[in-house]
Amino acid sequence: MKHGWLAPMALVLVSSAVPLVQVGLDRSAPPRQTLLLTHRELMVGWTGDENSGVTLTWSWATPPDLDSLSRERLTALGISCGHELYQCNSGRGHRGWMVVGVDPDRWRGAIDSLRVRIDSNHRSGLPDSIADRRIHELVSRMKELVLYTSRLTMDAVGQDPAALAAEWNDGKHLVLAAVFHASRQTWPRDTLPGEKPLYHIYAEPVASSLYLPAQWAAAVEDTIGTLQRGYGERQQMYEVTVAVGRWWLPRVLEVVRLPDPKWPIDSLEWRVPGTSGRGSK
Amino acid sequence: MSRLTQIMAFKAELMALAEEGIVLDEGTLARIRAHHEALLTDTPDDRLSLGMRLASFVGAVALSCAVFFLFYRFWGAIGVGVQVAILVTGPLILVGVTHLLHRWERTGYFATLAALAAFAAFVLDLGALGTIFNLPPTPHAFLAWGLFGLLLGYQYGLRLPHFAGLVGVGLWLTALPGYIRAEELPDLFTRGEALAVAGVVFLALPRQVSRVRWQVDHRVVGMIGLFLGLFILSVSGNQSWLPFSHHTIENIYQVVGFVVAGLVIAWGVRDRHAELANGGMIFLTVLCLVKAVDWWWDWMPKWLFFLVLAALAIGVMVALKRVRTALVRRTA
Repeated sequence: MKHGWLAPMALVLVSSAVPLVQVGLDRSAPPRQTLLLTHRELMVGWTGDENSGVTLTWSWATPPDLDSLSRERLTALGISCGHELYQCNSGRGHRGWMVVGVDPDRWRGAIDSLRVRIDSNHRSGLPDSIADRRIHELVSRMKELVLYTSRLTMDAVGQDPAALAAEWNDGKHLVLAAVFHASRQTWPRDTLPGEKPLYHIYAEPVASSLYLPAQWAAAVEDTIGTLQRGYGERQQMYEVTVAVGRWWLPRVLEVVRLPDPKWPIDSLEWRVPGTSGRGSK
Repeated sequence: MSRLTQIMAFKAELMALAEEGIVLDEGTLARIRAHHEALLTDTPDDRLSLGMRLASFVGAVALSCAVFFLFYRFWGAIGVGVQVAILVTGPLILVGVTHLLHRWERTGYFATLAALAAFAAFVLDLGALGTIFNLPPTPHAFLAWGLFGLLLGYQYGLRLPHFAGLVGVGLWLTALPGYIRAEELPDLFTRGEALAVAGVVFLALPRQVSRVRWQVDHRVVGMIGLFLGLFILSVSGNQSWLPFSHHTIENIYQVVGFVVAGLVIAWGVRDRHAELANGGMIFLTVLCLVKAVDWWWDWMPKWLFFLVLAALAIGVMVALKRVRTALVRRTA
């Protein structure tokens, strides 16, 4: 066929243009919302040696779910739930929208509490070996909190992204496309006469990870110690600004590499067991 | 039957006729011989063609994997603009290569290899664009991939890309009803009714449109979709859209499965489609086995269960023998 290549090539061009136009339109206006996150909430995703791309995956402070939803609330989300089954919608995911935000208070409270306990151990007057062991455990937990413990929470779900964005328009939240998995929280008790069923929803972002363009890939390092660094060594800390555009597509706006941990570990007076030094990282 | 096989059979028949005393005149024989020689210069030898087909298929799969792994090995170091340029031009270049190879070597082995690599590059193109721009997964990509495979297949007479295209369009058809109901990938592909309906569409297409090429491929893809859908529904009624309890739905689809398998076998025998007759029989056997386990495993002594199973197997063998005989009679 003389011009057999024309139709397949045209199809490739048109099909590739569809997502590119979608992205172009999404970015043709300033972002609807932005949210500043850290390496704790968006961790570097694991990739093998054969994949050089860097993606950031969501890490949650608490599982992104909602409890005790009524049938009416579930119906408003477009989810049907049969009377006889535990899982709604036959266990299938249902498209919707979720509001995510950062809850720094609980995280900061945990750090303050640990700091107090480390200080009290210093002043306890216990023998060095016992105090060292306790402090070592507390410092390990502090390190876990500072380096890995996420502050990311899911605050609401809905079917209309614009309505959710208007309601959570405080600069501390993002509206993301999500998949809902609903189930009967009170099943099978609620099948008895007179019982009203309550429902549970687990939501996950449709974009389960965010791609990090090459210009920022160097700013993040493996935070889980699978590539160059061993577990327990100092990890790279960074801040990520995530935005959603006009068409609600999430993207990484900026990544800022943070210096090695100064706060709160360096501000604490703690000793590393087995050494006489103080304030070591 | 390929042209080469027909010619070989014709020659064998001529020799048999000659031994029985019936001989064509020398002039006619010379003309036939010259015509066949001219034909065979462009026709691959069957003894070689199977090996070539196999090598072409393995080469295509390997080349497709190479395209995937090469991109993912280096994409992290490339800017987004260059990534997009590579992703879009990759399949375009490979379509061009397919075109050139098709003109250079008419049997299509090398063109098949390049076409499948183009197909893989196109899959990579849309998949990686989705990753780079954090786009939500969409089943419509399967439509694009399916149409691409069908176009390559039809334009250059290449069966493998065409088959891949059929699978792509079939997956899109299966996913479409769930997508309209706001369900998400990959759950969309497990809706039994959608799968069965997509299968019926593919089975019906060659009957309705006689110009369809490689009709057997349509029937195979359709039959697999139809049987897979019915099988899913017969063992897991939760996957159905019907508003009944899952036990009722499973029972309904078990009956439907037996009836449809019987009809497909009958169709295969009547219209001499061996793939339908054999496929129907395999599905019927699987259904019988699953139901045998469901019904009898818990209460039957094991020796009796396996004895019944053996009896069923013998029954299937007898049935298959009859189907084969019927097919042979119809072919004759």
